[in-house]
Amino acid sequence: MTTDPYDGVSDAALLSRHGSGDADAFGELVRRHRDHLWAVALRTLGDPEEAADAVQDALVSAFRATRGTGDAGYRGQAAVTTWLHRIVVNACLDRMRRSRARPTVPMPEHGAGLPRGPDEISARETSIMVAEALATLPAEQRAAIVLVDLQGFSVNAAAAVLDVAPGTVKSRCSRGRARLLPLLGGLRNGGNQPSEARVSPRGEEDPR
Amino acid sequence: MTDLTSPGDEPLPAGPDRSAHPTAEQLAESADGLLPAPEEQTVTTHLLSCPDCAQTAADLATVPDLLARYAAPAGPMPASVAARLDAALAAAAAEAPAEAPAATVVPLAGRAGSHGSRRWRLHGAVLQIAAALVVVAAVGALLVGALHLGGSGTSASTAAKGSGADLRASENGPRYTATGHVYTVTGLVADAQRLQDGSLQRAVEGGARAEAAPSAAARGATAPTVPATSDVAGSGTGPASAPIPTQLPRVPSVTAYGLAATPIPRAQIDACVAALSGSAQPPLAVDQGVFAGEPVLVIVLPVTNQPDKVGIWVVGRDCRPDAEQLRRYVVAPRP
Repeated sequence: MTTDPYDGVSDAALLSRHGSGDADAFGELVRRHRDHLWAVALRTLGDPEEAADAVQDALVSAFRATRGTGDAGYRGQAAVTTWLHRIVVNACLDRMRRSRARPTVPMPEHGAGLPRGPDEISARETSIMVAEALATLPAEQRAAIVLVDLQGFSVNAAAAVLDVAPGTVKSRCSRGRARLLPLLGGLRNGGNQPSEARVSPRGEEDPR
Repeated sequence: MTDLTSPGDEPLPAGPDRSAHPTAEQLAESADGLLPAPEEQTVTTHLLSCPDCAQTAADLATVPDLLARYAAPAGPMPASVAARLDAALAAAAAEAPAEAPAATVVPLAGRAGSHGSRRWRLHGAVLQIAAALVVVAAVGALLVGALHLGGSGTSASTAAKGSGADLRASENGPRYTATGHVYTVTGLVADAQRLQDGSLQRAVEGGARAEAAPSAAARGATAPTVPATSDVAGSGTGPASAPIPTQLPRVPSVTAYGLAATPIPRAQIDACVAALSGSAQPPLAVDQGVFAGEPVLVIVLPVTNQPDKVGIWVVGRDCRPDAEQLRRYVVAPRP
């Protein structure tokens, strides 16, 4: 009978154990959260290789930073999740700023859960459309929209991840969605295309 | 909120007709309550008389839904990436530990050069965590407060091995479970359908059996109905019908995430459903799971006056029907 030694152990306790020298604790923490962290990195950066590098850099740094810190007495599940997301998002933002290149458009992985059947081709196309639209956003707006609209974070939770005020998250999401609207218009049923004259932003300040 | 007797203290900018309309950004910020009052007043007044802008404003509200619906599903971390990551962590583990004493560890200070970026913001997080351990607890408590989570009682979680309250579904009644399933934005509608037909609960059940983990919730599966979940205090697997074979990977139970595994009492769930549905209609399905890294209740309710639709709620365990706790509400076709 296999026993999962970490079943019932909170993330905070895992981090404490890691700090105290448990060789497997951090790996367990990663296993629990890597899918979410991967999704955030991939949707933010667009390119799977970049995303893999960002997640790896972030988590290896986190590993080193918290090793030997002893029993930190972490409190609260939310803090560890937030922290993990924060370091991954920061790694992504850092890459985007350094490269100054527009994020590439990801090709959906083959067989990665796209619906089958007669709509399969169009589903692939629409997901590419979304990815391309996201790639046009400035880094901060893209990160905010990925967290809130695609990963389901509340505004406050996203603010904790991004280490900004909730109002800033809301503002980045608003502006990002305004930018996305003309690019996603074709996805809406009924084909109500927004009039070009209204939608093109004017007098833009730097994205915050 | 619109004061029709004083339409717009701020005059609209003069000029060609085009510049009199708010930008899409302004419309979006107006909808999110981010504009200063005079600007907000201007926009609101304009919308009353401009159907095109009103349409744009309505379209803006659909963007999050479009993203959720049409973005590619995230999918798990690819195996190759995970393997690389594990190898990198193993390599880091083999290194000599940092020499600085725990209380003053600032290991990234020396690595800033190698990363080539001074703006590597991990510094801040590391300093918070490593440099002052007392601060850690305060930061954690602050974040917990900000995220509206009560004390997770993590040390108590090990006592609550069998997740799931005594939420025995009646014969044809709604399904109440605590699968600990990880819900995602893009997969929510499909998962809710699987909740309604029971396949998600069965899959979790089968996965838990396949792992043979003794702390998996002891749920006896009877074929046509919902698996009954055991009491926290109770233990022992229920009468086991033949385990349902499944190829699905094991879904982590609520306890595996270390979340407060104390199951939500049925009375509290009922109160939550009543608050959300505002009617006496019983829910179609209720599950305790994980969403965006936090424990949530997923509640599937019929939609009043739309018999072909269901409403899917994802709320925090406190089920406060205010904006912070309400994470998501989606209307989907009834399966």
